Amino acid sequence: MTTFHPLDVAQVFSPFPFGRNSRDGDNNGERFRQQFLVPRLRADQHLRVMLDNVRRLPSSSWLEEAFGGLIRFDKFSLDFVRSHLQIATQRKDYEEEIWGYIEKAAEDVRKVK
Amino acid sequence: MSIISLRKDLARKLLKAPEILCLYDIEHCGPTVRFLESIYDSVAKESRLLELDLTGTTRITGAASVVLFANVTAVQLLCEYPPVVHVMSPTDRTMRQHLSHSGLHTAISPGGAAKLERLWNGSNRYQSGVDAPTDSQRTIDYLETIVPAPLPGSVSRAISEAILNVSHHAYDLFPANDLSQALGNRWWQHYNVSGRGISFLIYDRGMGIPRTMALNNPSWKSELLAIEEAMRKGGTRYGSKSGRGNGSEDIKSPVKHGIASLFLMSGGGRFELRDVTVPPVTRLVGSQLSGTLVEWHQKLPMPSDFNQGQS
Repeated sequence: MTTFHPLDVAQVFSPFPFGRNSRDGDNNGERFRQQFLVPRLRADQHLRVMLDNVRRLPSSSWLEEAFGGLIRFDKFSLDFVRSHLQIATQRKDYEEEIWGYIEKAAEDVRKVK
Repeated sequence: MSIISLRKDLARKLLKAPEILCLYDIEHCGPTVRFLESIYDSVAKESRLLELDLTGTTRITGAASVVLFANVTAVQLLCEYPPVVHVMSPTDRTMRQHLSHSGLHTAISPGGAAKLERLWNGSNRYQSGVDAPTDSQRTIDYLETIVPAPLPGSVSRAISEAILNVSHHAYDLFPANDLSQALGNRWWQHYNVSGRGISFLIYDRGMGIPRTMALNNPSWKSELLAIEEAMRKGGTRYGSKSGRGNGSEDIKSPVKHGIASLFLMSGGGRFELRDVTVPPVTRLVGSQLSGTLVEWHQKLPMPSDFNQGQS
């Protein structure tokens, strides 16, 4: 059975995730993706990203960059991300929003090819 | 070093404010915009010291007040001469008290960057930020102290995204030597608390949505089309496959959750969304506001509302 390693955003990254890239300070979505998601996924780890402990829900810029960027910039396939990533939050709409960004990125990449 | 060399040899230029300074009511919007823009233009383009005559003003609404705050402090920053604008106070006693109690009098008093920083530390409800990560956090921290209930996540997301928009888009396309670049990615904000609700307003003196959109796609040369496109899900100057353009959904989110109404004004157009079940109302205002103003108005439940709910 696959084990999903917990990755609590508030604990390992910041309780105040904010912004898209380095222009928006240290707690940006690009840094979270590059430092916390990509190395683990490249090592074939399965991740359970936990969002409920953040003090403030990040806005769309952070979410799109952190999760959509896996496909848009780091070239993971949609199937790989689906099989290796879980989003853990009590907010169902939030989980759907994140998967929406991931799927939109896959669609955009497919159209560009 | 001062960016504007003032003509101190000339007498102060007198700018007389309209009786009513209001951006919501179409009747007053044009004269209000022209007066507010003349503050910035008279200093930035004519290098004049100003006498702002508010003696005949009897009413100033939230949106007009934050633009007044922005334009006065913008020229104070650009010429590094705190007394560049002298204000003649309203003769109307109620209006004078309003200026004082709202914090606007202090906010537009002579000063520069240090004065703007001090506005964050007190209880003044006019503030100006330039550092998106730090200032968005202290904005939401402060809002949480003045709203009577936990701040809804959709509101904090909307404010964060509006601030990010200023940081990423508002000033980006100005030429490097444009005076507006000297302001950094600055915005001005105001919390307007009244008996029936709380408004949060954010204003930047950037390029504005219509001009920004038109530079990237000439088909959006109509100001209203450009604003509608920017406010549409996925609408962005970067194109549809960029992963951008989601911020407008955050900005509209408090309306979708039934928490607040949204008022936006940029360039010569405005966009209002009161309820997601009815289409937004867009219209031309007949005058050009520099930059973009966004306001969310959250109605507070009143005792009568509770009574109605219980009956």
